[in-house]
Amino acid sequence: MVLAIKESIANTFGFVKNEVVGFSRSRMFYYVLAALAIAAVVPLFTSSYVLSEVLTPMVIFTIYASSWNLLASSGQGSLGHAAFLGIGGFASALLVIKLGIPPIIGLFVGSVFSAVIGLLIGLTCVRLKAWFLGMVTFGFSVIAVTIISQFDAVTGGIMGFRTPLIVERGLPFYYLTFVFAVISVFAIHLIMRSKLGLAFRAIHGNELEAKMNGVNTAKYRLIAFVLSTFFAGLAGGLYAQSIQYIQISIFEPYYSFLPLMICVIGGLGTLEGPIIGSVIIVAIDRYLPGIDSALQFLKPLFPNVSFVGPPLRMLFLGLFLIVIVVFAPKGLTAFIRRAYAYFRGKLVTVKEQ
Amino acid sequence: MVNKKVLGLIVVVILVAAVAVAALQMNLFQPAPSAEARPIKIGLVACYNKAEGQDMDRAAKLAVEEINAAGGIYVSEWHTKVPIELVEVNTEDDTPAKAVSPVTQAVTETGVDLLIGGYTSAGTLANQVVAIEHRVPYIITGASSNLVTRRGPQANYGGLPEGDTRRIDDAEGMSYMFHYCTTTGDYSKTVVNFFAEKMKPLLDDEFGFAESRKLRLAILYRDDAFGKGVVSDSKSLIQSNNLPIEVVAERAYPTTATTFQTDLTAVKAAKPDAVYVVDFIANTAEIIKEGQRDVGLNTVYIAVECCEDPQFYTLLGNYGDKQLLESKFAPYAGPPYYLPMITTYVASYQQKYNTLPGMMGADTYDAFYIAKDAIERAGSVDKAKVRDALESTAMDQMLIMTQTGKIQFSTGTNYHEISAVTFIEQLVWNATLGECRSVIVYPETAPVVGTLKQADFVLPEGYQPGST
Repeated sequence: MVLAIKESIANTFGFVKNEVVGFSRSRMFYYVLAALAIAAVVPLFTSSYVLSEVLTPMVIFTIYASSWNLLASSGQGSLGHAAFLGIGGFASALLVIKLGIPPIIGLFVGSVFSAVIGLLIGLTCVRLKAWFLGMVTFGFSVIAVTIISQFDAVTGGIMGFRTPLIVERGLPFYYLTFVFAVISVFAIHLIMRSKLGLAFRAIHGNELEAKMNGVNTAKYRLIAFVLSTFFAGLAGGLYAQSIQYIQISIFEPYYSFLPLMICVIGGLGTLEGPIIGSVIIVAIDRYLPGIDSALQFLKPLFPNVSFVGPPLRMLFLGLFLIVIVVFAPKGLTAFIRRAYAYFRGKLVTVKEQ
Repeated sequence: MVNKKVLGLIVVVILVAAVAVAALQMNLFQPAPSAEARPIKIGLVACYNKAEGQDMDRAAKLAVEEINAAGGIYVSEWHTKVPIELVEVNTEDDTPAKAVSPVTQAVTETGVDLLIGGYTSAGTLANQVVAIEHRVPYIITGASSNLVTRRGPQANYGGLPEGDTRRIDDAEGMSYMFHYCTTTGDYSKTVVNFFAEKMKPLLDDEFGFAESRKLRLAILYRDDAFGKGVVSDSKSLIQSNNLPIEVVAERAYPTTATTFQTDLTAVKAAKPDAVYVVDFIANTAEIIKEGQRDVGLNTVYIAVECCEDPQFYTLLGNYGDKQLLESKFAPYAGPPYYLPMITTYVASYQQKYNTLPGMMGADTYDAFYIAKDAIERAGSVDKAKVRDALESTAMDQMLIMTQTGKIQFSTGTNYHEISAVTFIEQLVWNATLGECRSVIVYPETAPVVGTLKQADFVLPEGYQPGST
């Protein structure tokens, strides 16, 4: 038994080492390095508002959307992922407040708690197909709200409460979330490159075929579900800290559809899709409502509202989603890749000439 | 000779005095305005997409226009009057996720000197953390949960280590919060007292009920801090004061609900004498309409003061006839009004916006004058000095009646709260206007103001009491 565990650990380390070495020799490595450098340096030159209300949510939603993306990669979909975001947020904060454990431990335990709930839910529903699973998860998010609400004396969810922080708000908190995001995305990348990921992709491609080839589809679907809920819980814990407050509204359908929107815009099933999608969604969310002064001339179109920005944001987001689904169904990632390939091809042609 | 000298002296004294008076009148002794003088930035925290937020916005603009037209706010430190610059802080649906970001922007980017507003309790509890951390005085005119000034231990603001000079403790943090609004306890008290003192005797007389029969009250409420707060306060008031009221049904519904037939059917089955509806404008109006139109629950409905808004009267139509509204500001119950200032305010508001004002705006309007008074007494825009000045506010009541006739914030256990007077209005259908108007039916009098009651409470046509 011990030997088997040792062998398994050695295999995992060997796999990770090979992946890292292989990745460091690829062209993508330099792009990733450049992106990480930008994400690490830009916050040094931004205001505290941009840092805490724009960049930090972008990073946290990257983790959240990546968790959903991992689930989608195994051919499953969740319409109630907010339940796990909320459970992670509530559990991590309550553990710190009620038991007095350090916030960083609370964050991990909260994520594990979310994964345990995910396991229990997964055991009952991973055999369900497509929309049925989506509906069950949505139903669970409604149940979660009811439980948090009914046990308000313990959860404090209706009124909400302040969340303890791991580190000071601002740059320290941004870098903390950034490190978690890098680790999470890289972990998901490794999972997808491993045998586990191969099984997920096989199920996603054709479940019946995977089953005929000896893949225990229920087992792998359950693993994907649990892993996804762990990362969603982690995102929830960080999100609750980022707004320094947690309340029952974290379970709202908006947060369930958010990772779906992010992944569709960025690119479903890709590593960079949730990152690009998060940047776009948070930017739309934060900056479109603030352009009222520039859009005074549109006010007659919205006679019942004082601000043009918020309704415009919903309008823009809706149109944007339609355009993406119709013209770039694989998301902006595919579009960027095509554009890159096109310009690179042009460059090669010019060089040859 | 002596007389000439005395005469000369008198002439000199008169001349000197005349010159001094002239110089004073021409402000020659007044130091030049400071180079630091600038407009005072006041952020209005509101959900501008909703009727309540728009009323707050209109009221704030009216107050700012009036104050600026009179020269602005005198800041003695700057030796001059400066105008108010209104900063609109839109919290959209006022959930914690939406309510924090705009307040952070107003505080850290725009650099507001003071905040006024707040709408839901949850949204305000979330966004006040930003004001606390940055020590910005916040006059909260919405959010009826008293936790906005009585949060209790809240751990470590900003995650800062002990000894860090930026760290702010609870007592200091909360000292920047001022609640210029009634709490769930305040208006629940008025509502249950009305049922016990007015409605129960009327039912006993009208239907020959025994005196021992308790009034059967149903509470239908949104499942959030606001709803739960009202239910909890109402029940504890009934119990502690041993009031002849029995709560026969308590139905909570999700905040996202838009139709209420199921809840109303359950409430009807409990056979109530009256239904206490705890929600904001749109849902309250819908419940009262669905109750009568779809479920046949012909009873007395009572709404909460946040529904005191033109949109509520419009949405209700004639379904509002003889229904009740708890309030602290009654623009539909006049003229003449119980406070002369309401006459002026309603006229200015109607002239500017062609509609009657609402309750949320009235609090906001007063709050701008409270801020002006505090800054002028502080002589500075220094936030700690303004906070101290707000603590010692002792202005005459304006649009909102208080128990003492003065606007004063409490200290001690009930920290930084006001003692507002609330009352019950009954809506009466006006066929000519095609809309309800209201009359105050309870209480008879109010401190300082005197007579408040305008008419006796009557039961709606077709009213059916609960079980005997």
